[in-house]
Amino acid sequence: MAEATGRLTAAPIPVPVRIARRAWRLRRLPLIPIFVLIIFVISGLGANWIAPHNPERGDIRARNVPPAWMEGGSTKYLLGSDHLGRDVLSRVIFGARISLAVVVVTLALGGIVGVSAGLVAGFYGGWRDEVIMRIVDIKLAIPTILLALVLILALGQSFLIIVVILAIAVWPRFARNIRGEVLQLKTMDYVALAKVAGASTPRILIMHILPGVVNTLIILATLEVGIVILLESTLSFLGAGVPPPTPAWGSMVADGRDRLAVAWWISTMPGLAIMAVVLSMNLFGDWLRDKLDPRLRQLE
Amino acid sequence: MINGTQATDQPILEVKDLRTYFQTRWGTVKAVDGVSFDLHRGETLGLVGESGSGKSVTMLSLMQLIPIPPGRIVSGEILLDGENLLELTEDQMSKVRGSQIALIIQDPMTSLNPVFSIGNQVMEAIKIHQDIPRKSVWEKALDVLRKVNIPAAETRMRDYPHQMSGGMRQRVVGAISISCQPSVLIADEPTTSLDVTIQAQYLKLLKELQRESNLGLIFITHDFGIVAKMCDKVAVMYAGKIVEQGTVRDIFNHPSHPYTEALLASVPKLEEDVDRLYSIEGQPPALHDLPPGCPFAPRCPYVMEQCREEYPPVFQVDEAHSAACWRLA
Amino acid sequence: MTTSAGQTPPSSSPSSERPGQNGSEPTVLLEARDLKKWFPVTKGVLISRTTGWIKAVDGLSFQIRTGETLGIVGESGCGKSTTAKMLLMLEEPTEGSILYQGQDIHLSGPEQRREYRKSVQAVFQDPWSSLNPRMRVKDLIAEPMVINWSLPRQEIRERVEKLLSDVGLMAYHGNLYPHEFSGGQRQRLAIARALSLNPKLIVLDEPVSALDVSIRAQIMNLLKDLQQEYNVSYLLIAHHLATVRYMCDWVAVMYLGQIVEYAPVRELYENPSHPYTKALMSAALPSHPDIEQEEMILTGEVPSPLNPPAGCRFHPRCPFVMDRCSVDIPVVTEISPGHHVSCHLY
Ligand SMILES: Nc1ncnc2c1ncn2[C@@H]1O[C@H](COP(=O)(O)OP(=O)(O)OP(=O)(O)O)[C@@H](O)[C@H]1O
Ligand code: SF4
Ligand code: SF4
Ligand SMILES: [Mg+2]
Repeated sequence: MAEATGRLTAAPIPVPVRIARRAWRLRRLPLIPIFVLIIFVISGLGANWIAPHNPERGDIRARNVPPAWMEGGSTKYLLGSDHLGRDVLSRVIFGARISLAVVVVTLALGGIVGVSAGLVAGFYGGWRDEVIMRIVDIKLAIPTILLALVLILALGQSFLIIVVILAIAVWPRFARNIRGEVLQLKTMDYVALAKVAGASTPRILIMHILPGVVNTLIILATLEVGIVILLESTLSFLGAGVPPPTPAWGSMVADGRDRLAVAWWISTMPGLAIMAVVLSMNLFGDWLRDKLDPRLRQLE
Repeated sequence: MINGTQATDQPILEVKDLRTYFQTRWGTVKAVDGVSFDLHRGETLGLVGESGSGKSVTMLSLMQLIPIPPGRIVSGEILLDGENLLELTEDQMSKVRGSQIALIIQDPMTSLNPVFSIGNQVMEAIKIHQDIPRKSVWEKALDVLRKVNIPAAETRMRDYPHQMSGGMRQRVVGAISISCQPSVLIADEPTTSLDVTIQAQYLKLLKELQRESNLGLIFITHDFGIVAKMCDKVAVMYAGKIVEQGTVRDIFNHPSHPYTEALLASVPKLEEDVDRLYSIEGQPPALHDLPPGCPFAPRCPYVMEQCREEYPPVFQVDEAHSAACWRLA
Repeated sequence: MTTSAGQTPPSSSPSSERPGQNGSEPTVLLEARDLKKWFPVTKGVLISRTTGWIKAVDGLSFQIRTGETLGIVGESGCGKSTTAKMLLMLEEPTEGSILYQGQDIHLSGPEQRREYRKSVQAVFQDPWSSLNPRMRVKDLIAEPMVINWSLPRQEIRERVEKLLSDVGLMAYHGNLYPHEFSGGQRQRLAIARALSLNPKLIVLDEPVSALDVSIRAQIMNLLKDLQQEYNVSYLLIAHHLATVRYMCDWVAVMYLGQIVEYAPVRELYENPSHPYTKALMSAALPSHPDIEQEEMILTGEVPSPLNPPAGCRFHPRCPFVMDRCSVDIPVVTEISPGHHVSCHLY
């Protein structure tokens, strides 16, 4: 018994597991998405230092300058300039900052509310579960954009309000998924045994249930990032986003939309940024989900 | 023993030096490594071993259901009625499966498809392997259901699995597996155990089926109780090899391999008080990391110098009784 | 293994302490009186109404003595685990009482209930789900002590090491996570955790049935040794009759939520009296091919506890059924000292 340490001397691993392991090792780290996301985060955090120009002040003499690689382009404006002579690249970089801020605050708010609601609904069940899940259903039945527009009309347009609205949009998904997970976890024998050992309900929730949902939470959060960015961009595009002149990607797309024929880059560059970040986030989220899925994780 | 049916001279199934290996990241895992046994009609063989000892891979190799890759049947012969199954094409093999060798899984809940009626599933099994007119397929299905004692078989044909009790479903699974009159039936026991009374019904059913069609029956189990009740012959597997083989009385009365002896001494008895069970220390070895020499050596109370160096050859203990252990040298 | 679980029988062999053989009767630690647990069957979501009751446990009475093991056997769904959950205060009994050292735990104050909770611990069947995969072994074993006792960290650490060595593991195992252990080792961890509060009673719900055959004897012997060392009582739930014979001092046979036979272990196995017990014994697998068993295979299945049969609950399957069996409920009869049967044959 003395040298029997577990993993190495554990019973032989069944065949299907071995096959899954091999397949598993073939999976690759999604390098390009990770690269894109790193650039996104660095731009967001360091916009002040990275951006070559002030994003809000334009040079009236250099309006609609095409991107550097096109005829008439200039290396001064790598991605061109817009109709007010502002550097598109700098605006995209500062747009990343807005998106990043919105994503972080929204997910923190929506995540906390959603996780708490999911924990309570799943663990206690009964009327609490009924009430919370009905609210979730109702929320999911109302189109988010419509709700957002109404709320913005009523409450005004500010960063805080936008973020609260977006949090309202994302929490139900957290609540629903976490609840499902908790329903499973609470039937585990170790939860019953914790009760037998005298653990209080908060202790059980924090020590035994919450750690079990962390993976789900991380996966959910990564998948929500794309949704939040898209929503925020849509709101900005509709003119209901973070108020101008702060350069949000959505409002930049909206600004350039009438000038597509003359200066297509004004809309296209921020559009591409949205696409790249959302796509990368989803690819990364998919990979993370496989990576963190407990059933697959046990194999590694 | 309890089995009254006559065993003929020519074995219906003969397995010779079967080796099934898997390629894994730790190297080659010899899940089945030189397994030989034979089985006559009307005879019951118990293949005993712990999880991971290779009994399920042996069974899958017989049916040729090994996933390739990473698995590979490296060598050996599987002679069914004199014909080497390893030389058949996949097409030919799929005809053999179910019609000549059938597999019965002891879990009636998962081996029936919930969306098809009982009759449908039995008829499907018959149609795959036998070329007979539609009308008689129905008759035939009815016939097998009656054979396994399903009351009111005619009305039951239209029932769905969820409308039947667990014991009834077990009978249906039994009916499907014998519907094409296989000559060899392999019963694989799941790790979760059935209730004792349900298990007794199931064992009785298998006995009846065997008697009726003079089947060769293989039990894959870790439970010596099933062996004692059902089997004529026993093969004990450890780490991919058969370490002891003999008639059921040989094994129970004179276990010759220390592993068999230890296993028998470690199960509590229903009929008498046992002061203290023998407990086999340590754990079954990992197949990718076998010690050189005898794989049981780290747990063996009789281990000798020689055991750790060289794998013991098979020694004949008695006419039909053999074991691979240096103590017999 | 490093425990006292050697291959030689311990000097005081457990079987010499079987009931009826030693002079001083052990004291009753816990008593269940007419324990019932009915689960409502409901329809409707928000405004639900009860349409029936699943009588999972329906009038159980038994005693568990200090340092002894009571076994409960019966088929799946007969209410064994529900009984265990009531003793563990995971389910509230519908009716009846649990007396711990003479005190009804549901009538006593919160302090006494806390005391009871500490004294009754459990080990469950599935060693894969009974340990939180995200906690280190040392924290898992320490958790009950951290919750209930205010001990200095150093003392807790020493106790964890002692418990690990008691169950045959090493101190360094404390730093690993549960998934790094095999099934048998995990069951040892579960046992160490259950022992950490020095409980008086441990409920063992199928503690070995998920383990490999060669590992089962290790765990059974370990449990027996620990019982000697700690003088703890066990309630063992199992469906494998031979295991129960090996482990227990008393056995209760359950059928559909009720005890049909209750006796000292040797008496029950040598003189099974209730028809259901006889059927179980004849269905159990023999330990040797030459053992002739009475052929008594039950037909049909266990009826649903939603609509248990009237009269004797076993009558639809009983080979000895008489007219009155479907009408009158049999009373418990003591057919020999300590041997209780509820059947009209006696
Ligand atoms: N929470 C519950 N709600 C409704 N019915 C329940 C509940 N828990 C148990 N039951 C029912 O009570 C009966 C007894 O269940 P219990 O788990 O005690 O059986 P058991 O004897 O432990 O069976 P097994 O051997 O399968 O573990 C079963 O019919 C079961 O379906
Ligand atoms: S060969 Fe040696 S180690 Fe192996 S079983 Fe025989 S005595 Fe034991
Ligand atoms: S009371 Fe009647 S039906 Fe019940 S067990 Fe006894 S003889 Fe059988
Ligand atoms: Mg149970």
